[in-house]
Amino acid sequence: MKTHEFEIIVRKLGLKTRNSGDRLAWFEYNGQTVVRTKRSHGNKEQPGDKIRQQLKVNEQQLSGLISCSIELPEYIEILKSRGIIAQQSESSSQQKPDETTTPKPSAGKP
Amino acid sequence: MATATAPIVKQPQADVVDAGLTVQLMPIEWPKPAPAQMDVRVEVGPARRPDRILLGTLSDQGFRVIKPIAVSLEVRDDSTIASWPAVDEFGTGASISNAVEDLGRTVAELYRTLQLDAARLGPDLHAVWEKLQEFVVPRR
Repeated sequence: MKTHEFEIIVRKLGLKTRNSGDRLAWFEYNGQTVVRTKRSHGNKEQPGDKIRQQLKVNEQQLSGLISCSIELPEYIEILKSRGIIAQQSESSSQQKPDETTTPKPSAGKP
Repeated sequence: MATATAPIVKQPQADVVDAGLTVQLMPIEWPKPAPAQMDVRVEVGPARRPDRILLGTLSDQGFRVIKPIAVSLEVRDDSTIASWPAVDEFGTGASISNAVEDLGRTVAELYRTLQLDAARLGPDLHAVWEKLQEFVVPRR
């Protein structure tokens, strides 16, 4: 995985980031931190399979995140189906910061 | 006045030393080393890299490992990846030691982050946090 591909995912999912020894990124949903990942600084090739495991997606879904086929709502559904997002946290919270930042569906995009 | 005691070893008189004794330098032939065994060949194969190690310390001195961490090692192109599959964490570097060092830093960073956010972790990260505490504790 290229560095710019990692950054595409960061922007698309609205990951929060912090620069430490590495660039740390984590995904929050309903006030909970649900997944985290990282990349090293610089333009080195990043271990895509390790990042994929941290994001809890399969290879096809990772490709979709980098391209246009999977957007934030689809990613949330993936995490729900895998039990990464607790169902109770969804029903207990009225405020979903993700809803305000959810990109439009990618219909029509290549 | 003290009387002189007889010497234990009697030295010869000077006239005896001068009585026709000469010193002659003789070449000494040292034993020659055995000729090198040119037909002996030692084959050294490529060093076998470990694909798994047990990590007992972290590069971050703020933490102590209380249970050995099973780390998987993979060499890819020009980098090495050290990963701890149980918590889905990894480190990268130009060598095994660099990758393991990076993993140690990452694990320490993960510990601090999860500790701060412990009250608001999703189920998966909560499990990671519990697993992490089985292996690593902060130094006092």
